[in-house]
Amino acid sequence: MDQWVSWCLVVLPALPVLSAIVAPLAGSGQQARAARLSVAMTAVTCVVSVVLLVAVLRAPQGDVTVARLGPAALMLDNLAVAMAVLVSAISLVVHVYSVRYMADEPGYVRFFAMLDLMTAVILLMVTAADLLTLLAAWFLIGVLLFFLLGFDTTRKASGRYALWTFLTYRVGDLPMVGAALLLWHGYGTAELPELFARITANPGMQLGGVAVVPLVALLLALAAFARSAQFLLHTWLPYTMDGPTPVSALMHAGIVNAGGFLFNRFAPVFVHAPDALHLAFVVGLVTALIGSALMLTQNDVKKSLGYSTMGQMGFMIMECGLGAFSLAVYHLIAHGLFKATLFLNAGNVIGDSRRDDGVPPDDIYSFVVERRPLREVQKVPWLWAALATVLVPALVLGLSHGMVAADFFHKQGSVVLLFFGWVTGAQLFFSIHKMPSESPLRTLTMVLLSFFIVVVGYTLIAHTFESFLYPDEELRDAIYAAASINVLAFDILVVLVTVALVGSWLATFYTHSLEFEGKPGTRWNAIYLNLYALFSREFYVSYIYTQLARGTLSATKRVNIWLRWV
Amino acid sequence: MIALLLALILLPLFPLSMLFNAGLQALPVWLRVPVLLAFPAAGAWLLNQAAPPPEQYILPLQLLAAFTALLYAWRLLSVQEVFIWARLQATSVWPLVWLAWLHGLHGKTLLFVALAMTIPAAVLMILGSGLSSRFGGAYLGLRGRIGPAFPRLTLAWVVTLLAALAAPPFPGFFAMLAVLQQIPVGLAAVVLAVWLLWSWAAALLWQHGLFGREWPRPAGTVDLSYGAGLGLMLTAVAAVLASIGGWSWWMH
Repeated sequence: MDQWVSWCLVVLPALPVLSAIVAPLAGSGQQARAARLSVAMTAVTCVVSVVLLVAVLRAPQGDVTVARLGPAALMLDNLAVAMAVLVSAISLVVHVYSVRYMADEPGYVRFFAMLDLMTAVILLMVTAADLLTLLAAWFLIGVLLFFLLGFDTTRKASGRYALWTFLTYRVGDLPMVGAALLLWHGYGTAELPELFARITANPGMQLGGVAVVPLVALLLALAAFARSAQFLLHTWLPYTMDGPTPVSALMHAGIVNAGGFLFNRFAPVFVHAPDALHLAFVVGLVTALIGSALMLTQNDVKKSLGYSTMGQMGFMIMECGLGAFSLAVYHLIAHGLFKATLFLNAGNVIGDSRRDDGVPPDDIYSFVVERRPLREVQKVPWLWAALATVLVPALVLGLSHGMVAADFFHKQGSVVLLFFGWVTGAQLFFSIHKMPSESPLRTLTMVLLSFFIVVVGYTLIAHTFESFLYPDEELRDAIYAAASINVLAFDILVVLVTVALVGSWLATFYTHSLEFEGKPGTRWNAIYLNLYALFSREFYVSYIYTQLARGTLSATKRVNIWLRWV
Repeated sequence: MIALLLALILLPLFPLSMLFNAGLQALPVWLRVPVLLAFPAAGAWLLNQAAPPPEQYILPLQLLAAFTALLYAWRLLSVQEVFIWARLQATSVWPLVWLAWLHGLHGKTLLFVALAMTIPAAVLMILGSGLSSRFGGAYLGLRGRIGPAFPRLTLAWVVTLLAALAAPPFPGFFAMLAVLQQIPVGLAAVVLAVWLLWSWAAALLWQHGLFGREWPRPAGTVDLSYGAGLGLMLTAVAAVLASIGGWSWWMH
């Protein structure tokens, strides 16, 4: 690509840094001017990222530009530019939103300076072309997030939750440092394009009798788990709601999904580490299930959104574990956009619903949104319901994928993943079919048509996006091959997942007639209530961590006193 | 061997580190900063002159250094007094210099590692004096946040703590990478744990000083002057640029 592209690449993270320095100086005594300047600089950053996207689209397939800035190296490839456009666009929305939202807060100018710095380091992370730059950006995101989440210094709680986040991020930084050191020692270079070429040439490299690549993949996966709030490293996420709403939006839309980015950036490593991908699948699955379950039991809108993000991140990591790397990026972009909208609108929704919930009594709403069972449902045979909800998506999925890629069914990961989504969608379709309606046939036709459009649309977009992110077909197939399991295990998994999904939906559908809660005073009722308490207390995970931290602190106090603080 | 023994006094390992800390605490505040800078510089210089220790002492030395670094980093967690924090942190830094030296790091790089990770502790001592003269003690977390009363002093303290926990782009970050590159995997795990403990301790100290009820400015006290603030900021920028430049040179 041309020289100007390299300049634009350097300018991309440099502009927000410049804004963080200039805006507070220019806005001394005039807060609004500082905010306007910061927004203008972010808008220019966004334009630069779009220009880079155009440059990448016009360049020959697979062309990668590397630019140098001191010891740092920046890289422009399809993944970097997709992430840069997402990050700068969301940052721009958050900046614009903050102009009025934060206007009455003390430290208004400081807030914009920190937002700018955060934008700069995220851009640095997604464009990093060497291990050192990536490590520095990875580390700095955690540090800046601490100060952004703890922006409201009047409340001790915001400091406490910022500390949790910072610590979890630091725990995740360590395996990342370990992975970088191993790659450095093993392959003798820190430059990512050269490193990936050497890994492809010699994936079996050993250090002290230990294979480097599988160990590095495991460490990278651990770093991704901490960054993307996977189960047991998730406790910080729902509690970061104490930070300002624009920060929540930026974090849930552009920071927490860095785990998915990491998997994609190091795809040439994961290709040679199937075990790390299988681990990612299991961890992602557990996180998706637990995150979603905890989301359902929260009565606080923002905390519920936090657990929803956790569930989505689980799903994203699971996608990586299944080899659908590009789908994970597509997912994180889609999730980033809708979650940012939800957060930025959360205040309005709460305000409106305090005056009037505005929700008309509606069976679809109460079943789909409030997750309450249908009350007056005409009973249908359960076997018919189950068959309809499995066959319809299987048919639509098969047809739509037959159109875009004949070899689709060799990619086990995508099959499992999409089946998950479409079975869930079909359950929705089935539920809506049962709703009272003036024109049931019309409703049914519309729902079927919408479902078909969504499936085909998603399939086409996913296929196009995959070709964009991974133009090298060999790498694409190698990732799926690395993530695949033997056919028998795969078939059993599909059957189990289908049974679990259909069973859960049927159980929800017939909750009233099945009387899950049991009669008060019975043993089953006690178990049910205890289970509910366990969920509502978030499995006591954060409680256990708090107790462990307190124990550690009190032990250090005792030792310090014993050693007389010397 | 004499150089090695002298280095053990200048870059003390446990239990000599306790003697050093007791001595440093007994010194007047104005003398602590030069001592804190001179000891690691002289220690690193002596290590550069010294021959490697006999084979049978290498493993015990490594274990002792790893233990000292971990012990002092762990003890930092409950410290809320800035002077104590600074000297305990410096004491957990110096064993890392030993580890790097034992695995072949020599010359200017060893000196850079020793100083890059000790200078923030020395600056913390200076800022501790600033806090002490304004509040009567450098103890944080007793009342509340100090930011609104002394914004420039607070900023300087936050930035220095960032440097102390070896965050990028401060010199300590590059020094930690230089140490980690030099040592074997087992010791690298210990050094990473020490790094994590520094971060935890620094974040706890921030929590004590940055959040909560406002700590009113005591009568007759003023914030850090613009000149002093600017001087500190320029020093930090110069250190960052120098370390980045130094790293580039070392890498190539």
